Amino acid sequence: MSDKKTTKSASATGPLVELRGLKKHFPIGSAIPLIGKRKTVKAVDGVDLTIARGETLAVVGESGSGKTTLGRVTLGLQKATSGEVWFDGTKLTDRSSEELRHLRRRMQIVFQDPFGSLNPRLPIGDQIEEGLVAHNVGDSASRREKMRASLEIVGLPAEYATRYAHEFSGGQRQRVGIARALALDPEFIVLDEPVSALDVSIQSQVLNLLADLRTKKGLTYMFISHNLDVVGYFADRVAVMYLGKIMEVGPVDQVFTKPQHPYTIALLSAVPKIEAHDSADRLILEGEIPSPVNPPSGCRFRTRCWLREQLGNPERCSTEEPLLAASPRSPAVSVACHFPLEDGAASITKRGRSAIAAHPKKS
Amino acid sequence: MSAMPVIEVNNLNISFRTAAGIIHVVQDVSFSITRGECLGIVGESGSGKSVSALATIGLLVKDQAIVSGSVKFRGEELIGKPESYMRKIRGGGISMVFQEPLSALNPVTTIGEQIAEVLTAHNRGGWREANKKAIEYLELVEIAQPAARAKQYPHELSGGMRQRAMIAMALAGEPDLIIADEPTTALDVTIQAQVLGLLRRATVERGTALILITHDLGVVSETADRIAVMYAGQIVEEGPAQQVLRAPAGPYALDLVASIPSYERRGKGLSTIQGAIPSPTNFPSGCRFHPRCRFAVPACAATMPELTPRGVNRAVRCFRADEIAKGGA
Repeated sequence: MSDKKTTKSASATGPLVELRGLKKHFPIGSAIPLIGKRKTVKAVDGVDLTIARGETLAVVGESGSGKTTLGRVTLGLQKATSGEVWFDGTKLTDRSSEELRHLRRRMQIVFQDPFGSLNPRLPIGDQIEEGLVAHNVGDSASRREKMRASLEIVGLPAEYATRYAHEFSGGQRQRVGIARALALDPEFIVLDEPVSALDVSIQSQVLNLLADLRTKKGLTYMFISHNLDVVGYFADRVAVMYLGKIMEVGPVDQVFTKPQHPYTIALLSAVPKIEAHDSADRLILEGEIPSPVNPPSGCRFRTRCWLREQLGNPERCSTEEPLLAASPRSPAVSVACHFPLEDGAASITKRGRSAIAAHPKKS
Repeated sequence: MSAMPVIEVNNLNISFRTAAGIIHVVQDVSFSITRGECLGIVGESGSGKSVSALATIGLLVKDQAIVSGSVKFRGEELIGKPESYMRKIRGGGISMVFQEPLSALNPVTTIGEQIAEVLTAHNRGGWREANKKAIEYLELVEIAQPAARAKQYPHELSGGMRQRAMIAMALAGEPDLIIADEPTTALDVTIQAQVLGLLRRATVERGTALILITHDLGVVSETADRIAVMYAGQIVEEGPAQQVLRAPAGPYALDLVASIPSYERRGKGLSTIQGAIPSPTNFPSGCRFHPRCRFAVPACAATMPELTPRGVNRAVRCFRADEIAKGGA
């Protein structure tokens, strides 16, 4: 664009998306001074992440972990409290909304709820064209053509353009949501729980479509999900979030087979599986995710950490916050734990965990 | 214990009167459960799994729903019993745990009082004693600081805690049967593991029968002894949970299991079931799954297959089960 500051500083080989020390805090409680105390929900509390071109990065976590907020702040749909978001070599966090408009076209979002995210009173074709109109793309005829092509690429007949949202099933609505995002030819799409509201037999159809589009169009995804099965199947890398921070991030094939953070291990162990396994092996975390208004001191996972208990509650966990650092064993993985597990896979079984307790690692 | 089932459902049919005419939502559903046993009813949306449970305990609106067939609870027929009788059964003999505890709990009464209410309603002592017992039930469902929690209102509790309170209330009626409808669907995976463990332990220890209704095959696999797979208002397959899930006999269960994503299936591509789930207003002719079935032959569109016994303790509703078992179509 005309703005010289937007010159691409990063080469095409740099990451497409980069988050640096990103924070999003929401004030809650009384807004009137002197009456009541102003509190803050630290939804995202210092996140560093990169997403390479063509890569699918999954963000997993329980409700309240801040994963949805992270997606929204990344796209600039919510303003960051502090920290930086970089997209293709351009810093987004200090741009005006007018300047962001150009970049927005290249970044889209697909929402979880295919019922709530479509306008019930507008034919779906018009809704897909709306984005093109907002970004002044082409003339009326070429927009129409683009809209029809978008419908076809998600597996819906172009004639469906004149239909309304209620005429579609859940899976078809999610296809419309994807078509709407695709119409603008984005490079980056935030998928916020895109298959969670769908039935199993429909979920696999949509996942296959997303995988197909990723290959065909070279798309980069941020895949936000609470479902570890879906993430393990679909993503290249995974970031595990807990109370606004990343606990562990790395390639899926390493994090799923050799998890190092005790929270990652507990999450993986909690997923119900069809394959038979000894239920005594199941690692059940006690308690619930604490309030993001007041996260625990030191390591924020320590109040539920099974490993800390086995290690005899080291003081360090409550006094010093572990930083997300590259693992010495597998540098592609970063872990935020004072006592990362060398053989996380073993600790998924009960016997493995007793072995850890018998020989605690010195750190 | 005698082998008499706690509940025995035979040929249950449910239809609704609507402006568009009568819609048949559940057809010919039969199952039975013995003490301490857990039956998982699995199905996607619109399969009729929740409606079947609601009909069992007489919670469908009489003017709208037409229910026929037989539901025998402790040997006694429930279909056709007056509302006053059903009211006694619910909470006393049969308890229900719903998916969304916030809408199932009374928002203006503390959870301690709500549990105590169940206890007094079934003549288990006066209020003072009931309040004390309510705290014991909260302790039983592993709620920390039960005495303090008993004085709180539902909105003051987290989702997992509310679901525990619901289970405490269900147990307080000392029922012979608990029906849990998607009890963990709204919960996070670590909380889900806690709640499922709790539900299973509480029922096994007390010999309570459990019907677990869910869309999650992983959840039934870990919790249920037997499962019934429902599709378009009918049971299409049933048998011991592990057997059915690991070696499905019918095409729907087979492809449903194959379409679940997992780390193990990474890079292998995911099977899908083509098309969409049919609506009860226009169920297909013949086998209701035939338009989506990759094994279908012309006969499948003409005649509806019966749920047919297959092997020990198993049954499947499919003409082509033999071909599927041989691994080809």
